[in-house]
Amino acid sequence: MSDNSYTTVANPGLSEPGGSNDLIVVRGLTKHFALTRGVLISHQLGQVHAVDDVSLEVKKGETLGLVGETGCGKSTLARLVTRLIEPTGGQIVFDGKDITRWSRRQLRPLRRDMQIILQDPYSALNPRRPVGAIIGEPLRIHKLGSKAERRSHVREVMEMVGLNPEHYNRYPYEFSGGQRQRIGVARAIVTKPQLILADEPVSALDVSIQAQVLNLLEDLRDEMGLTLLFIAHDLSVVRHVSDRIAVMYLGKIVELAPPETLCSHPKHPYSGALLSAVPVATAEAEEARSRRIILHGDPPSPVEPPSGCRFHTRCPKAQQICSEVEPPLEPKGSSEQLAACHFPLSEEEIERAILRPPES
Amino acid sequence: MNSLLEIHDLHVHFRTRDGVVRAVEGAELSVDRGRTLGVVGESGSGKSVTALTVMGLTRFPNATISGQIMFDGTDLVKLPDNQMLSVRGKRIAMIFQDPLSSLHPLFRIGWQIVEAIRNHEDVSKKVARERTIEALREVGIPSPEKRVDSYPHELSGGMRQRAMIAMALTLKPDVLIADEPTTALDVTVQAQILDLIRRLKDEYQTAIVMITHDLGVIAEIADEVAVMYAGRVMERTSRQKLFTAPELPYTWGLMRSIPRLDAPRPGRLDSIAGLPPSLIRLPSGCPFHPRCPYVMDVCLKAEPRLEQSEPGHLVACHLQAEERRRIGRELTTRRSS
Repeated sequence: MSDNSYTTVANPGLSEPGGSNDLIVVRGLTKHFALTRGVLISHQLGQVHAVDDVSLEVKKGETLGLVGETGCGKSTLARLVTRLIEPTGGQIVFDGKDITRWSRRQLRPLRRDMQIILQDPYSALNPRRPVGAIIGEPLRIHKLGSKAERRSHVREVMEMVGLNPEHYNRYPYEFSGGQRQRIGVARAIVTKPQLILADEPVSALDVSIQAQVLNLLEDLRDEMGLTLLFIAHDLSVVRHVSDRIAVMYLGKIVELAPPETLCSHPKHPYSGALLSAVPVATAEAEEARSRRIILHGDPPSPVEPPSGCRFHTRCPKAQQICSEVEPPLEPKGSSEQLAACHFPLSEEEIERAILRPPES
Repeated sequence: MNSLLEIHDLHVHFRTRDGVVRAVEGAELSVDRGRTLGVVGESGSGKSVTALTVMGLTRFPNATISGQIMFDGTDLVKLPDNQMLSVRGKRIAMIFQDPLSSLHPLFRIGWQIVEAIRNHEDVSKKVARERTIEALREVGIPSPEKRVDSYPHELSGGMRQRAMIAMALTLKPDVLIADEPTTALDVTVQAQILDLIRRLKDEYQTAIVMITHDLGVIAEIADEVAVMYAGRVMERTSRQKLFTAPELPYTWGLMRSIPRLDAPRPGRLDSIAGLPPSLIRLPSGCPFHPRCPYVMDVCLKAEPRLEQSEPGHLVACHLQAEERRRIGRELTTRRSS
C-alpha cells in the first residue's frame, strides 16, 4: 500500500494504548421486537424474543463463528453488536468504549471500524453504480483522502481481493456471483476496519467459488489483523474459519467453544443434533445417518419461548428440571468450553451420535 | 434391460440475443423404480434444464430440443403438449428448491392439492380432500385436518416443503424429480426431509432424481450419481465408487473444495481456479480444460467422450485410466484418514 496521507487517518483506534485485548464485550444483551397489529391504533400482541440476555467477548484478531437455525437470533445479535439496531437491554463495549447509548451521530466515525458483508451479492450492490464507486462509497462518506487518492486506493483494494482494477467502471451485472461477493468484500475492507461482520457470506455461492471466497477472507484477516464475526448456517464452513464458535438456539447462546472441541466433544444436546444432521460427503454417510439425532418438529415460537431451558421441548435428554430452571452458560469439561445444559452429552452419547472427526 | 426413465444424447439450446445458450449438450442419464439418481453440478451445469425438459417445461419458442427421453416406452421429446399434460404431475412429479414460490400464496394448501388430484383423476371434492389430509399426515405434518386449511405463509419452510412433497406424491408418480429440495432449509430440517424422501421411495418404489450441488446430500441419498459440467454428464457411477474412487478432475476439485466436519482442518481450501464457462462461448475441446490442473494438449483440441472406465463407471476425460484411478484413490484415502 502506498504511503498517502489517507493511511494515517484510517485507523486511529488501533494504535491507542491502554485498550484491553477484547475488541467487543457484550453483557446481558437483549432485543425484543414488538409484535403489533393495526395501523392507526396499534396495539401490542406480544414480543419476539430475538436475542435474550447474551454475554460474550470477542478478542482482537479473533474470528467468532455464530451458528444456529433460521430465526435463532444470530443475525440480530451481530447487528446489535454493531449497533445497526437498538438493543432493548444490556451493554455493548467496542474497543474499550461503551457504545450502548451512543447516538447515530456519535457512532458515525466508528462505522469505518465496523463493516459488513452480506449474503446475497446480487441485492447488496446498487445496480446503477459502477463498482469503483460502490467500493469507494465508504471512503467518500467518511471523507477519507482526496478524490484521486480514493480512486487509487479503491484500485489497490480491488487488486487485493482478486478483481481486475481495470473493471473500475463496470457495473455489477457484468460480474459473476463470486466476483460480486469479492466486490462486497472490497467495500468492507476499503476503510481498513477492525471488525467485519460477515452474514452468510458464502451461502449463495457455488462450492468451487465458496472455497475461493473463504480463502480470500482468511488471507485478508491475517494480512489486516481483522476481527471477524462470521455468521453461517453451514457448520462445516464455520468450523473451517472460526477460532471459537457460538451455537445459538431461540435467542440464547447454548454453547461456546473452539471449533475442534465443539465438533468432536459437543456438550449441549442441540449442538450434538446440529452436528449429526450435517450430511458428510463420504462413502460412510449411511453409517453416520444411522447414528443421527433427528430433532422432531420446528423450533418453538420466539414469541413465547419455552420455560426453563428453551431446548427442552425438543431435547432427547430433557427431564423435569429442564422445564423449570434455566441452565446458565458455564464451563463444561474445560475452561474454554461453555455450555448451558443441565445434562450435557456424555462421551458415550457423542460416540453414538456423530461421526467423530479425528483429533488433529 | 431398459430403465424406467432413460435420457439419451439430450441437447437443449436456447436462442438468445447474445447467442445460442447450449444449456444441455448430450446428456446421458437413467433411473429405475425404487432407485435414486443423484445429479451434482454447479449453477449453469444444465442439471435443472435437464429436469425441466423431462417435465416438458422448456418448450419455449426459442428452444431447440433434440435427443431422446424414454419414459416407460414413450419418447417424451416427441410427445405432443396435450399428451404431456397427463404425464406431468401424474406420472412424473417435481418439487423445487423454494416451496414458497411454488405454492400459490392466496389459496389454502389443501385446495391446491385437491386441485392437483382432481386435475388428473375423476374423484369428488370430498374424496380428494380426504386423500389430501391423508397425504399431509403421511409426510409428517402435525394435525393435518387443521393444516389442510392453512395458507402457505402460515407454514414454516420445512412444512411447506412437506406440503409440496405431499402434493407430488398423492398421485403416486413413477418418477419424482427433486430440484435442490433442501437447499433453502436448515440442516436439521434437511435431515427430516431427506428421511421422508427415502422412506417414500422404499414404500412406493418411486424412482427419484435428486438434483443438488451438495455432495453431502448425494452421499446420504443417492444410489447412482451423475456429475454435470457445462451441460454435459462428465462422470457416472455408483455412490460408493464416487466417494472411494472418483475418476474425474472436476469431481476431485469439488471434493477438495468443501470444508469438512469429519477431517482435520486444512490451512487453506483447495479451490477450483477460475469460473464456470459461458454456455454461449464454450472453450474448445474439454469444457473443463481452462480450470483443470491436469490439462494436456489433447484437452484443448478434442472433447472427451463419456466412456466406460470400469463396469458401471463412465468418465469423460483424456487422462489415462490408470492415472485417474491412482489420483482418485489417493484423494479419497487422504480425505478419510
